[in-house]
Amino acid sequence: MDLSLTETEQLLGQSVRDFVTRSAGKDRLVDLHAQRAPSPSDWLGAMASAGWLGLLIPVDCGGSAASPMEAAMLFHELGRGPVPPAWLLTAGVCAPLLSAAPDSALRTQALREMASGESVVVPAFQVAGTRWAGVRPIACDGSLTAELTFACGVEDSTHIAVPVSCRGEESYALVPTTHSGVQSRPLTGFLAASYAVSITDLDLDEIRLVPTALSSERHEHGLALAAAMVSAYQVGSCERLLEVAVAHANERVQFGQLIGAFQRVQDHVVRIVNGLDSARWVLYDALASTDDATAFISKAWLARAAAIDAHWEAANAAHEVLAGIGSDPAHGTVLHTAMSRLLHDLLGDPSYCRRRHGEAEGWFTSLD
Amino acid sequence: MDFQLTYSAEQTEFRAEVREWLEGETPQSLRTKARSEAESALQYQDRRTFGRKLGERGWLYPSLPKQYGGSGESFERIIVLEEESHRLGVSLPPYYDSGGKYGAASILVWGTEEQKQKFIPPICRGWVRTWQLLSEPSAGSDLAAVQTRAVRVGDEFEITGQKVYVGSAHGAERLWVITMSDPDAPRHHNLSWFMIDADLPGIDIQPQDLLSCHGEDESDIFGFKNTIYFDHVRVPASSLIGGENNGWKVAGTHLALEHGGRGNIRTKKIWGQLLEYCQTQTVDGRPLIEDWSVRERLAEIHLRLESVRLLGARNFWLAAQGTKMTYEGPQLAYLQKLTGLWLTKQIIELLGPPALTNDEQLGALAGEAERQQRDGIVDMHPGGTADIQKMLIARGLGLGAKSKG
Repeated sequence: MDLSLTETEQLLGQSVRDFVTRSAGKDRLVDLHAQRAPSPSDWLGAMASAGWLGLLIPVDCGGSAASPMEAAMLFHELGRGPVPPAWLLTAGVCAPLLSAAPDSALRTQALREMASGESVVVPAFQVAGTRWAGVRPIACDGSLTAELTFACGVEDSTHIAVPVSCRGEESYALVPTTHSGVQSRPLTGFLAASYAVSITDLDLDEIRLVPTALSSERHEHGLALAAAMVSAYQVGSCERLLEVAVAHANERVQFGQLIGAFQRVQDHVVRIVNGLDSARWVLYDALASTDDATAFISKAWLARAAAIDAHWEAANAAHEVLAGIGSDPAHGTVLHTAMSRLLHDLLGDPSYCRRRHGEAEGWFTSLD
Repeated sequence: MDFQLTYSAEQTEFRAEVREWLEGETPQSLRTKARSEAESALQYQDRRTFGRKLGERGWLYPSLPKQYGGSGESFERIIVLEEESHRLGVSLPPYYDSGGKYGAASILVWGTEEQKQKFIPPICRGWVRTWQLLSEPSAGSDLAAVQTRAVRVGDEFEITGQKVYVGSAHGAERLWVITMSDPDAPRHHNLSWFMIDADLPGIDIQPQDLLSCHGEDESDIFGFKNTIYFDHVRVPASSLIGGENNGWKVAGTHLALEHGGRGNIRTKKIWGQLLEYCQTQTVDGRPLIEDWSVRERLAEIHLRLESVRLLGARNFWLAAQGTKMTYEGPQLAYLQKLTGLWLTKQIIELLGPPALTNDEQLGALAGEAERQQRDGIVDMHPGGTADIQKMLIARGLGLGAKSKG
């Protein structure tokens, strides 16, 4: 048994952490969030030139085909920011899903552009009035009309990926966000990083369609890999919440002593670390199982369920440690809190993820 | 034991009188939610006008004695007033008046007769809106550690310091402030309270944004908190309440009320909205309520909210009977806080992402679900954190008391 990270994994994690510290520090993220501004343009170039956007893309499509554990290091560090979600969604969600599509020239071209940063693709999978039940294709007859809700990262993206079924063929439609047939509306409230996307009579002949098979084993594997990457991001955010809570508990004095000396405050911090470590190690177990596709899929969904709940709970517990100051947007904790809510239902809520795990384990045969 | 509220003929007659009066006098603008900051600001003017009309009848603070501007109403008649105002979607008072609510009650106990005559009637009649000023950057849970200094200078005090998480939008006329008045005195023997005008020279009020800021009442979402700076503010010594360096005892009265000691009889509005949403909303073409897991979760939410409601009613009844409470106030505060936070997860698991936006088209429960997501977090802290409430419950139960000898 060896549970240590490899030198490559550690170096990758450190270089991403350096980038986040240098370019996406707390104050900058707070400003961006307050202004609802897109990410600075230099981030895209920096991430692309570092090769981070192509970690989960095959070499022949311009990526580096890094191991899932290496890729998880990237998203873990981005989650510590938390850096806005577009980069997670293009490199950690859409890249594995499109990589899982059968070989085709369109697939290769799309992945090459994603690896180079020429395109930033975020998923828009949720049809209005539905709950997540896997990637379900939208039936089309040559043109696409859809109301898609809760799409994240649209402000930083060039394309949205929409699963469609057209004339019996399943594919991901890569719809340019600037297309005249596409309108996106930022949602208000807690989900300030989420959009409603309206697509009207979009001629699919004008749109790049990457053929895929949504119910294939390869796609299921790609989806599980995407779920694991989102989990890594959430584990990173939990880790940062722990650091913030511990730092505050060791600085703040009330009743003549550091609040970290109070058992009730300690309890909150312990809640965070327990959730964090559980989510981290369930995730690492999944990432170490990628040679066995069936085991990986099962463990990836378990990791996703653990990460969602750990993230939610870590945010709550951090707020209990920080009290009033944690509710001040300038403090930065609210960014993590909002992300714990934003990602709660991405690729399925905890209940869905647990059922996927049970299904993969063969405890039952249908999610219904 | 009878949980059913029953009313005498006189009380029923009073209800008819209250209903007719409220129907006629409650501004139309207060019966719907403001949709913008501008609407909220206009609404605030109506709230104050309405407050003054309530004050003329002694109904703004009906439990306070008549001689100070209340109406000294009985427990049952106060319930009637609460129920009838709630029926129209307004609260009593119809604006955020923390300093009025807790300040007036504290002055009633600790003020001189002259101070009662001076400070309580303007609150009860709605002439002034008053904010409470307790927390400071370095003194939150530990209220006794406040550093805002009050220094006696002849017939005046000079106040210097900073208070945070104060008030709401639209300003206030009076401030109910706890200060540190003797740096050399022992802890709990160095504090003093003041009821002062908010427009004195040297007072600077700056808006403070938080994840969630309540507005003027439950229906108003356009609020914010404030940071208030005092720069050598001169206040008359006659505004000192309860005596110099006696502030911790005054704080005991204030905090007992703030920590749930008054109770309440209201149901949480979001329950009805949640039930209706699940009964009427279809997801994937199927009403949410048809899902057994939705039914089970709804029942669990109802159980938690009912428990809190009944404990609120218990405290309300105990307070009205004049029964001394020990742990009951903080118990209610603790369970309200905890349930609010717990509810956030229940709601998102029931409703999914529509619980996280107040978008007009996509937001569930007309935006109230999203508001609960933020309020559930932020409400854990004001009036004493959940941890502080637990400590007070334990103290009320006598835990550890013997170890002090």
